[in-house]
Amino acid sequence: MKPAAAALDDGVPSPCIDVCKMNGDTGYCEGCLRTIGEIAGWSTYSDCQKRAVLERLPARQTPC
Amino acid sequence: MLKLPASIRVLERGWLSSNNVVLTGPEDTVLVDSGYLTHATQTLALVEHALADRGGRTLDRLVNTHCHSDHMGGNAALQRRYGCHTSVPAGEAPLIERWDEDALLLSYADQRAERFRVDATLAAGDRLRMGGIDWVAIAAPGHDTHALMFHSPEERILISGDALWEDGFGVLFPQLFGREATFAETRRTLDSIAALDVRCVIPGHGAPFEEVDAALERAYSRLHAFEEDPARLARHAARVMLTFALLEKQRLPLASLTDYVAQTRVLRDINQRFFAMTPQHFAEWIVHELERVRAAKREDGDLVPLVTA
Ligand SMILES: [Zn+2]
Repeated sequence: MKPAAAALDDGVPSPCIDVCKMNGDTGYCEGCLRTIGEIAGWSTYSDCQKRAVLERLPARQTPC
Repeated sequence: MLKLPASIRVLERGWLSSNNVVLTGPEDTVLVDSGYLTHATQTLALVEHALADRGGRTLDRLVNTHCHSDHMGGNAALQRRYGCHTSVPAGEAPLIERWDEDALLLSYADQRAERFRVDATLAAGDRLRMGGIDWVAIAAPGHDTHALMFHSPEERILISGDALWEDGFGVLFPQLFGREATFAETRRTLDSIAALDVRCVIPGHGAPFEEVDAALERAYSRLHAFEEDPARLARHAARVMLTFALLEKQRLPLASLTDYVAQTRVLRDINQRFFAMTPQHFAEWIVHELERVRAAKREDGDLVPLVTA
């Protein structure tokens, strides 16, 4: 276990915020808004693919 | 991007849950470490997803690098789902068998896990086959006295658990609780990693990395700083324990923190042994520290985590 800290490498940091619970309605993680496939595949993505995922996330915020 | 054999899939998690490594070989499928209890539902979904990618197989085996809450919290749920054969380091098996909440740093540290069945134990020097690859179990005392790492000489990959991260290693708990050999053990663990042929480390937390020498250098210098000033280790541990609680609960009323640090035994003991502050002073100090390192902020009378995304 370790406190939150910025990723050391210049790579694209994971958007995980340790909520890690899938929303059954949206299919997105309630913390980072990724799909289960995006979370499972994250470590296999290139930096470019990771950035593409990050860019998709804001639009998934449910308006309140 | 770092290239791993197709039979290895790293499920990169956060800090509350360790990474989970799915290894799918011709003989069987194995998972190394299962994350934290409160994330178990997502862990099951991730494992199922990874196995579906490999032809929809079942999970045959589960292995733990060590038995801390963030590495074994999904064990029970995985056993229910898959009935997977489960191995833990030999030194931890008795603690699991009698479910020693103190030694496992569970209720002692205000952390949770669900009791699970141990089918077999692993010891340093044991040979394992995971993902169609041969691995050797390596002793990794330090963060956890009984922890193991798994090294593949053929692939030159090390599954390091919390013995080596890209920037540091897990809190050296045994030292805090009076095991004076811990610093020397940690140094030997780093030495044994340095002596291995490793091109890639799959750590317990954070992304897999290839700059192993640089990571070792950082780990040695951190260890050196702790040896020079053990109170530094205690300060680090106090920050980590409260951050963990904060990540699990997502917010803690600031007004509750004095009671929290007085009643959570791990924090109470660290304070007694190293700082001897009043609980109120200790709570204020930790909050200040978490703000300083940007791990948390105050919001509407609560302390909330600030995970850098
Ligand atoms: Zn650990």
